[in-house]
Amino acid sequence: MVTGIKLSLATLAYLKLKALFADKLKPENGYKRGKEYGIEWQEGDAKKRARDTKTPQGKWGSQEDLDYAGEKAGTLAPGPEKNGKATPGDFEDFPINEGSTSTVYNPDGTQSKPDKIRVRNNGNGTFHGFPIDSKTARPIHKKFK
Amino acid sequence: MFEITIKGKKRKRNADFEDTTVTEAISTIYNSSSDFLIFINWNGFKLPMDGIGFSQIYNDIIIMLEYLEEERDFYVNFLDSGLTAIWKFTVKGDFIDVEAEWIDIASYGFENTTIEELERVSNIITVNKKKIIDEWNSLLKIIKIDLINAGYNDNLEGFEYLRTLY
Repeated sequence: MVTGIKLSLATLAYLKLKALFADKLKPENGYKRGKEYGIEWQEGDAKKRARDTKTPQGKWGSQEDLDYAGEKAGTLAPGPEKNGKATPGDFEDFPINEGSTSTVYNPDGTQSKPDKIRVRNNGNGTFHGFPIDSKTARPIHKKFK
Repeated sequence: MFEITIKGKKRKRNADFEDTTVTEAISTIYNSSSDFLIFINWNGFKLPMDGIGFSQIYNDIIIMLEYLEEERDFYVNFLDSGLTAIWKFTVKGDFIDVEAEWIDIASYGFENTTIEELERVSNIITVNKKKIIDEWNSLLKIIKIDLINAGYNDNLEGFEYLRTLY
């Protein structure tokens, strides 16, 4: 029992340290610009895309939101190396950061507050992903893992 | 059954010289869903995707094509609001089994284009390796020409594979 507790504490400490020293990934180039999901993405364009695709569209709200996403994505493993370069790893959902200003634009013209982010480690120092509202995005099952 | 068809190509935008990657450039030139629509025929289900959606999975398609040149099993994941999926590839000589796990797709307003309908067809296709490579390469050749015509050059990050297509 005592050994079990020690192991748990050691594991917890390891996980905390791992999270602390995990590489924070940079956002893909477009996320700092007016591209899809990016902080400069015009509201009209995001709404139009939600309407055209009939799918909710998440938009990063601020640099702080991107920093948080980069931290979380940095805890994910990249994919296997190919020709000496890492490839993208698996995507995962994380709770959204407190104070997030990210938004989800819905096809019916409404907006909702995202409660999660769906991100992956691209393996090249950047992350890929967007904020989601788990009421409208389907969960990740990953039966292949 | 696996086949890629395209529709549209009515209007293409000029290059944005702040773009540094192929992903950004594709999203610039096909900036509206009416510009360029791709349909992936998966066992009879036509999965639609516009140029912006394709731009978000472009890098994964290139990795997939590079893996297909090898003789080993692998999987790729696509992460876009219009297509979130994992495809697992199992090599069987000249053929390959592709097993899909669908998470989200976009309907673009097309009838009977829902994830529920997609899940009614088999999530496995068996396709000749050369056929699947040729289908994607045909699409990529069109995109390459459109990028060049829009004013981009092969300095864009992620252009390496496109250089090999003629």
